Amino acid sequence: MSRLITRLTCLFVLVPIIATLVAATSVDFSQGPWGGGLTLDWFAYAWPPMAPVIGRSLAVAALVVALNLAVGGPLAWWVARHPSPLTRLTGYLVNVPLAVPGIALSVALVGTYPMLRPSGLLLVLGHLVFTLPFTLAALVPALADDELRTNESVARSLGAGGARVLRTITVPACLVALTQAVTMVFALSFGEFNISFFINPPATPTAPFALFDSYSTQRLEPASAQSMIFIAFVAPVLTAIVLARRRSPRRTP
Amino acid sequence: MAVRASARDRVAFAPAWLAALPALVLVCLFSVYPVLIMVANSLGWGRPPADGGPTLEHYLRAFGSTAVLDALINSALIAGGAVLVILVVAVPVVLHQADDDRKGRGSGTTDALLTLPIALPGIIIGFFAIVLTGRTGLFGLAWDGFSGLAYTFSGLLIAYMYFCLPRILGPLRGAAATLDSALTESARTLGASRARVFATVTLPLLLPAIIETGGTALAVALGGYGTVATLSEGVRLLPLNVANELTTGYRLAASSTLAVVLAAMAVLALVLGRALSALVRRAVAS
Repeated sequence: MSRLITRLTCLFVLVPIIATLVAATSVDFSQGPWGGGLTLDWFAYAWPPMAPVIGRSLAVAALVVALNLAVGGPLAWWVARHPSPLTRLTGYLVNVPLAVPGIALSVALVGTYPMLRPSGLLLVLGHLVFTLPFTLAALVPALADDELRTNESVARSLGAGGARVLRTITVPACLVALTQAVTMVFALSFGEFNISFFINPPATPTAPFALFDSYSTQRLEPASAQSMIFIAFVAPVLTAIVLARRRSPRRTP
Repeated sequence: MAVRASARDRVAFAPAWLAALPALVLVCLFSVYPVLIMVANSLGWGRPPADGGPTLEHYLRAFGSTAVLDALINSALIAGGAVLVILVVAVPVVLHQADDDRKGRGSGTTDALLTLPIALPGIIIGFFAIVLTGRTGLFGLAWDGFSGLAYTFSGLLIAYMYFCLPRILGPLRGAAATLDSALTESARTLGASRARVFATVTLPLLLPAIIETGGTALAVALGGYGTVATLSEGVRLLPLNVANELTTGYRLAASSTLAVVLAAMAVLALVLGRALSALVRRAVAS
């Protein structure tokens, strides 16, 4: 019984993806699956305008990941190692974007900093505050681990410097959590639409906006091809997320 | 020696909070402060030429509009309905997966497939609905009743179920993995039926996690904008109204008001989920 429900749930996830792939490879989808024959023309037609947009989204996501590690890493370290009422308050502040819906935060950001929008700075910073809670959720438990703290203090008492302890003890011990944080942040930023809606620079849209535009202006077939291209870019990242989770010693997501 | 070590520790760790400072400044500037400004805008404290002075006028106008109230009720029904259905479906799925994992035959493919929708933006899920049940959708070929279903209440409900699925399965999986299988096994050997074990052992143990996950997923679903934006010619949900106030004529105060209402609903769902979950956890433990 529960196996059947699991199978059906998998089917529920898979059917729309397969249908979109069929639509993207049909000459005329309104005549049914592969109506008018099988073709890859829609992919050839969709790729050239899509390429620079995907490139831009990849760049934004990479920048957001780097910023997350640069500012979120030290923050996670402080929260994990110096628990106090202050760190609890910090937790609440960082989690604001989890409670406030993306479109609301987008209205809030564009209402406060409209001048930062055209350069794209507001988009990157918006993505940063939106993804920071996920970085913290992955890194804080790993950094708070007792065994890791003992190993660090042993290494330090043997004379290792701070940078060396970080490089040879802390980072290797947190590798799974780091992978989890990096992949999750990357996937979230790459597909982010809600917060981006009002803060995305209008002249240089990211990938989800190119898709959204095609959904309202293009035929179903090229729009399907664009969607499949997008999915092809997130699928490897997702596989990395699942692998990191399966490697993780404690099975708590 | 001890003195030297502590001195070195102080050098390395003295400005501990300094490490957190850049992130905290960014969070305050780009998340906390804009939200406060948004609340101020909704109360008429915006920069001129926004309506001057503290006023509840924007809230009165929002709650006096049937369009807004309809969208609000639709949002609550669709997000709530989707979360409830997926919770019912998710419980057997995570129990099955936990069982498989314990027996060491957990499938990475199933895991990856069921997690995939979390990486898909809401707009793609809305587009899936169009491909399958839009006006020229695939299912429409089999039965006419499926044509255009994407733009109806039930179509949107199914799209939001897709959206909620990974957000409920993920956390519930963690909870199911920590269940002690010895408890259910001993209940079974003592002669309890499968259904009875589920109702008296498994479900009560899982219930706090179910409630908390439901609250979190409800908050996310209420704020989900992309799916309904793609299907915007059909049933209207509150996030659409929030966006419309800005895209059709930049009415910042009106948009901020609806955004505050939407955020309040989401926060309420989160807080209620946490509180109820804690309450049930205590009741089950005692």
